[in-house]
Amino acid sequence: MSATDFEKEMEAEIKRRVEIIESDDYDFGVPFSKGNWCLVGTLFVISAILITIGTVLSH
Amino acid sequence: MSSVSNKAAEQEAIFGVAPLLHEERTYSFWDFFFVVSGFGIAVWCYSQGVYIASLNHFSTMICSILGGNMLFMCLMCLVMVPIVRYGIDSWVYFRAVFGYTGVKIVCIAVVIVNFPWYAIGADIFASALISLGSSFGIDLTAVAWRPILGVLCIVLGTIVAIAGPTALKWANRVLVPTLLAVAVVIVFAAFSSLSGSDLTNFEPDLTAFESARQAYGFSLEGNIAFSMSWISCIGAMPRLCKRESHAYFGAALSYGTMVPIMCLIGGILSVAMFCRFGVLSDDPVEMYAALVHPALAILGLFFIAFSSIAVQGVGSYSFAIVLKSIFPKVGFKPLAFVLAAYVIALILWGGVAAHLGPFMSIGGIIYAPIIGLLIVDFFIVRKQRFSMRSIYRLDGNESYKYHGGFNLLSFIAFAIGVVVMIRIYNPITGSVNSGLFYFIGASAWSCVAAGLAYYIGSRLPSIQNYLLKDRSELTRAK
Repeated sequence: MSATDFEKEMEAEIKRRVEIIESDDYDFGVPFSKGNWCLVGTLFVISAILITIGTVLSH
Repeated sequence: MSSVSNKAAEQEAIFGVAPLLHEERTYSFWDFFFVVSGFGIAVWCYSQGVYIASLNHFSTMICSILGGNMLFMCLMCLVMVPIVRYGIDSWVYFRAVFGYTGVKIVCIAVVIVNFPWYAIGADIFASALISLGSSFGIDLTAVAWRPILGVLCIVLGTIVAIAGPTALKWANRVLVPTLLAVAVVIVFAAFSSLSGSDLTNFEPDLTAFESARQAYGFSLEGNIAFSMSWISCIGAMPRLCKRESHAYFGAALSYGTMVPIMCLIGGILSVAMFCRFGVLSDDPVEMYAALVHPALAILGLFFIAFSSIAVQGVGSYSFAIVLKSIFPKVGFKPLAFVLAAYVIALILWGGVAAHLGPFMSIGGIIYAPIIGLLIVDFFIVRKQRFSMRSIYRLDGNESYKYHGGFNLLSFIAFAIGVVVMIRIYNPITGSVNSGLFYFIGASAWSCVAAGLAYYIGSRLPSIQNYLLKDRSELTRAK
């Protein structure tokens, strides 16, 4: 298969897949939930607390 | 055989650009967690740990490594959300943020600042072989043999990469257990050499710093920049995850906890070395050979040497694929050779390990603004929606062409991030120019400044039209 054939095949495949994703019945799966965002916030706060403790201890 | 493997790599690179449909996803949280851990846990974690140990007492070392690595990992891994939702490679999605041509420049810059880590891996390989030679009575003079063996590591790693995905799969299957075995032996060796009071009484030599707080600032900067450097490795893997949360938490907990724990082990090993021999060694191999029983040390050094080749193979393959997704017309092999030549040049220069701190901060100059831009662009400016047709330039849709392929606002915001970084801390000269550095280093402020500048710019009506040309062709998401 030549490079050009390969590129054409690639473009056709991308177009086919984008059309499937754009169709109304495509399932995007479970989105990032509010519970997930809470966990993100918790991890962020724990990290910030650790850094703050280190800053205080380094004095 | 090699042409078949090369073809497989070419196909993976090119078809890796196409979006992956939801029913094709195979990774659960644990699958992704282990794959990412296998990639992240490498011999350079010890080098990072040793560097941080040289700047901290034991208690602040723990805070700096665990807090510093997780803080921005929480934010950076949000980039996983669009990648999983739409099933696309990260660098394909980045076209929306930087423009079709701009993303190529950003990709090259990221590879340039990230790939020096592989020079450190090669250096550890050389060090392991020199120690192994010494164990068998073969004197390999470090000055002469270190660069030669380092180059050998790169050559062998590149051969593994060119051999293709199957060789890589086997390299990874051996690599992860090998590194874990080395880590277990190292932990045992370190803790059998130390008492609790040895750790808590450890006093680092901070004479080069104005204060302990300044040294802590440097260690925080090192850890935050280290964590940000993983942005270059995101690639196409997250899109294999079945859920957005699987990708996010798989990566955040791997890069944010498993990798820092390995760094911490490196730090503890360094302290153990200091307590037993009075020397704070910066060479993980030297520490390993000194602290572990000689018979076990030989086996361990062999493992370290092998894992360094495997790490090089995985890295060379992954980054060649990244470049291939940006430059699809260039062959996989030439890209792997260019990467190998770049690391070999760094090995022959020999200064990467000696300048680890500035080197990480120079990486931070590039990564930090990019992370700020990516998060603000997707979650705030585009409100989690973009156009797949424009991402792939299908049917004449080119909303992300901007100015000649460059999103000028993102590059202006990027420049602002760089200026803020240098105004706070100049990694070239090593000078701290602002008290802000003592709170959280400089990369963090750079990330925030770039994101803020991008957000403010996006609020201007004329720029909104420039940025959001895709609104009429958005891909439905939920």
